[in-house]
Amino acid sequence: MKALGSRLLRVFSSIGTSCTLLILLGLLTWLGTLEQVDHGLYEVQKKYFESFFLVHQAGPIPIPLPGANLVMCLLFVNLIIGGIVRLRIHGPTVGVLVTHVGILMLLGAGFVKMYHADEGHVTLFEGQQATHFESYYRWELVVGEPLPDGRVREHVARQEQFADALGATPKRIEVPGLPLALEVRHYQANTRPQQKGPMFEVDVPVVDGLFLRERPLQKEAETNIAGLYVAVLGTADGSRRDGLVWGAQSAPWTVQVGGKTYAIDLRHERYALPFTLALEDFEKIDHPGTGMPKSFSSDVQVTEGPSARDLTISMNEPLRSGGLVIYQASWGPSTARPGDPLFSTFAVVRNPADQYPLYACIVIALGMLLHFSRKLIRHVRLEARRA
Amino acid sequence: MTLDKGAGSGPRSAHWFGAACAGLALSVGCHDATATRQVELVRETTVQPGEWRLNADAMERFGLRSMSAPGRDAAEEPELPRFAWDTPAGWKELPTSSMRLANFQVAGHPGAECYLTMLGGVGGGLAANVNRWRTQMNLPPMSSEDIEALPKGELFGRPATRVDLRGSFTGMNSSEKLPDYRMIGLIVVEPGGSLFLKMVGPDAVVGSQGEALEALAKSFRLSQPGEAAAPDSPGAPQDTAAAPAANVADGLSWVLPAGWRRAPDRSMRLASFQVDEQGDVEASLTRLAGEGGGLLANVNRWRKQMSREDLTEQDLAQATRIPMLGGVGVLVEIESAADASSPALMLGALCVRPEGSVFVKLTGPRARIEAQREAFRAFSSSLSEAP
Repeated sequence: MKALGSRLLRVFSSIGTSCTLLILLGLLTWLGTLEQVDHGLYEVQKKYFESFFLVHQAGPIPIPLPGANLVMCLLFVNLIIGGIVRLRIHGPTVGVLVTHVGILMLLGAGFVKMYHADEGHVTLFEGQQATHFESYYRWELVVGEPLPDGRVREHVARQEQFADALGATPKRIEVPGLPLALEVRHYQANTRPQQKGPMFEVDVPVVDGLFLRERPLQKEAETNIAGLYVAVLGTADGSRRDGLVWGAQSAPWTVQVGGKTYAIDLRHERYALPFTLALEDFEKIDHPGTGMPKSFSSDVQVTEGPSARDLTISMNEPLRSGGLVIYQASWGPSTARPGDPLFSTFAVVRNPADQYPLYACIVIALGMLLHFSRKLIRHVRLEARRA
Repeated sequence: MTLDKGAGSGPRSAHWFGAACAGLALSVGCHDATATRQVELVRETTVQPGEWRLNADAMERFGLRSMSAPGRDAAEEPELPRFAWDTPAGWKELPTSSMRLANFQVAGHPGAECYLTMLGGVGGGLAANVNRWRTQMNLPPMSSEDIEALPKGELFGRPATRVDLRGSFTGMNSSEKLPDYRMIGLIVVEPGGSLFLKMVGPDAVVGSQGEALEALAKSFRLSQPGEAAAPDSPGAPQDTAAAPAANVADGLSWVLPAGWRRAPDRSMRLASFQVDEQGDVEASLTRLAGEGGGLLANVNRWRKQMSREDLTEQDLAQATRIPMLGGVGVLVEIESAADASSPALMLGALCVRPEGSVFVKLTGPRARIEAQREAFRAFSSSLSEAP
């Protein structure tokens, strides 16, 4: 057992393993880039870079490969054992050690971003304000409970809790505090509701004369619209209501349970902003004589508690506040005529490791500077001695 | 990835490494898809006006029937299984719409039409639909027993109820009674969906086309592999962005000026038109119920869009009058404010009537709009109620 452990340790700390892992990363990047042509960035990112294992289809031949997530985990272990734990730390290796720490920071930034970052957008017309931003890709299933003061208490199931309900076998989601539970099935990542005619049959349930027709996933993943069959089960009265929810529905599905009204909605995942963002003015400057924008910017007001700040977000000057970076992303509608109201869209990123790559690069540069300075000095001394 | 051989290896390191690998493997492999799910995220929000419209039915939620306010998005044209039919001799196929799955002009008469519609489920039931049609023909409702006794026919290979009515026809978008009309239809009502094939027009035309209608009804079929779907069948291959070809929309017809072409339809508009080769300037044709807020309010709404001050009734009395829709329309020309970044011009024609108002608008760069002045006027004057 000890011998096996030592052998594993040797393998995982070897420079051969490092090279193999780096070659695999290069290969995954190359294959993923090629696959992106047909399947789009989002799907490829999930398959090649956020996975532990994958099967790449090379024509008719399936090739099993480790996902970039696994490769980077192994590289992290390899760097720690080989580059830090087993490194003999003394003067000549300090630069190498610092460089390895920098690379570890870089990998760590990647992991933090993958598991803890939120990305989305917020779109506002002039005069509107927002207290949340929305994901481009992820969905949430919401049970809205209207409150007497006009507000709504939202009980939110995240995408992981229903996105694997792919077939007819239902998954049950409990909603603590409410006299109901949800039963979800036939989740479709891209779908359209449709009326069922008598002249054709469908292989999914028909609810109120409608069914969800699955459509191929789009390369531009943000254009996919998810749909789901939901049953609302009254836990106290044993009632059952079946319905469809769709990501682009214009109003939530309303159900009554125990004499109270609830609204069931499927929508892009929302994340709270730590402040209120209000669009005061949007300015678009066109190239002379054309309708093509030369630049566009948004005057916003950021309100946190009693204090309010007036700021401008433009194409190259994002707003950094409350752990968020808010970029000026786009505007619309593209068909607006002069004088029509315009909206401004901001890309919002909450990434706790936002600045880590910068710090990591500084550390790596410092390590390499130390290491190569020492080499240079040594070389100069050697040459001087020869002379 | 520098490794000094022999440094740091030993039993303790090996055990640590083995435990780490085991932990990683467990954490990756132990996701339980069958575990009970529970909503863990609860938040309270303020609802934006119009965001939580309760009690909308599924058709409204999914944009399959319009609501009082526009929704987030509407379901696209339904993707039904492809189907085909044999158009009766002398009949002309017309463009389909989201409601009309097949659409015909009957026997070359512009006032006689026939179309196929579909509803999910029983669509209100047979009696309600028969009596709805009778109401359109200004006839009293029938009893359930009489409806059961109606003659039978065949539609899409299914038993159908045949309805044959004579009377004064009142269309859905009109209050005018058209005397001496006849309506012959076939209705299939099944829990799996309902079909309605309706032919309506002057008695003299429709009365002679009963057999043609029955032959058409029997000819509807799902397309076999290799059989071409009817060109306007919703299942037929088509460019979803393609523009409708006919110079008619929702009861209005017009003469298209040279160089204009129909653009893809958009919500809120009856029709859109590209007015020159560049294709980015569109004229819009819209209709509102009743007086749509009135003439002056609409002119001033347009002036506001061009950053112009309001007109008074006296000012408006000076505006150019043109023949429009069998009555008199008002033609306006609004230049953008002098300080606008790009000079623009708006041409507008308004026909405001208690029975429904029609608006034509064309906005864009001044030089290009000025070039369309005569065409715009001719188009607006050519508008008429489709027979």
